[in-house]
Amino acid sequence: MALNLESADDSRIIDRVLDGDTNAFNLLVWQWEKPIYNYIYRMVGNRDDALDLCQESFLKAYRELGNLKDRDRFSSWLYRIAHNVCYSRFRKDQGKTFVELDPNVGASRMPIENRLAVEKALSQLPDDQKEVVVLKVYQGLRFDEIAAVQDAPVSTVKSRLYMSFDKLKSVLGEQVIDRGKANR
Amino acid sequence: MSHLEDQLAEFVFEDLTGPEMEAARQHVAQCLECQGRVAGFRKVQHSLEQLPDVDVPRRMVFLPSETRAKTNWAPLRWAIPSAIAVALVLAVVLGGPLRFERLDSGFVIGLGPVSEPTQTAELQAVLAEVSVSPTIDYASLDYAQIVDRIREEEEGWLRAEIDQAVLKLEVAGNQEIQRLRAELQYFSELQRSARRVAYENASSIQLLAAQTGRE
Repeated sequence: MALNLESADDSRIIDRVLDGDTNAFNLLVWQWEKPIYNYIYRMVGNRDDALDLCQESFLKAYRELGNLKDRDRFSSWLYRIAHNVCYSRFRKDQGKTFVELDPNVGASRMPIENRLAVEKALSQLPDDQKEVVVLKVYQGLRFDEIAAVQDAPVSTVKSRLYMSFDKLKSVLGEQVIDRGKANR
Repeated sequence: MSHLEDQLAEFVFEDLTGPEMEAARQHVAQCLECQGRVAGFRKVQHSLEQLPDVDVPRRMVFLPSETRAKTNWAPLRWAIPSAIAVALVLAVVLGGPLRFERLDSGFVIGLGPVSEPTQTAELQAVLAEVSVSPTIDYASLDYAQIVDRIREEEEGWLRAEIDQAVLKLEVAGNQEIQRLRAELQYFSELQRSARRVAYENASSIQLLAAQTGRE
């Protein structure tokens, strides 16, 4: 059972920021920097770029906080800002070759070759499908929240997920999937 | 119930409502086709979940000097210069040629013909004093006095510069102190917030344990 403490806290903190307590915004950053950073990192595949884009996202969120209509949907709103920042970067970097994700990141029980295979398979997905996988599997957003981030109907989000899972299954192959399962 | 079809993902990620989830469970339990699809979906899901989250390389701290969205004055920045330019053009058109005069009290821009220069008694006295005589006696000039005068002026200028520099340093020092205070306040808030969340989590765990009889 998930304890819904964060959204209540977010709403209170937003009140304080809008009342002029600019330092309180750092509490929001503290609560959300890791999920937002991980979302961006998995989208762009580079730690330095992810940090830059994460900072840019929070700066935009700070400047636009007064325009947030529903404070209980702060997280979706923040992901939407990060989404716009990422896609803006994609448009700018169109045609460039990207460096692979860092294989030495974090500790995992998964063998390194499997991790690399999964990361490579993820990076080969189209951006909109990869984003659905990242937001659903890693960030745990509901389908309606992902739909708000992508500004698309829920049915589109779901079909993107099915398509991406089919591709991942064929790219990864049974061997990697079974080995990953065995290492859990 | 028919096959899961487009409810497959919601079933695997447990996004269905209670009754929907129960109906889906019952169907999957007796449908080999859906069991196979769910198993295949879960294999990919588990493979993906093996990738760990990464830590943020360095903590981000926003300082209060940043400002939220403000009224955008950019389109108005040319309004005042444009208004002055229009007023000048109108004045020239309606009031005749412009005249520029340098008087004792400053610089004057006006309309119409230039006025005759006038010399006040004070100005005449100053002019008489500073006018260079062609028969000046350089030998009688007090060079030491001139050097002293220049030195005094330079010292005055230097003192003013030093005062300005000290003032700038004081302002910069205050800003640094303010920044450090802001950071200190941020970390205090962080500590308080962490304590509160830990306390609330502990309370919730105790409550859940009591509810499930596993206290």
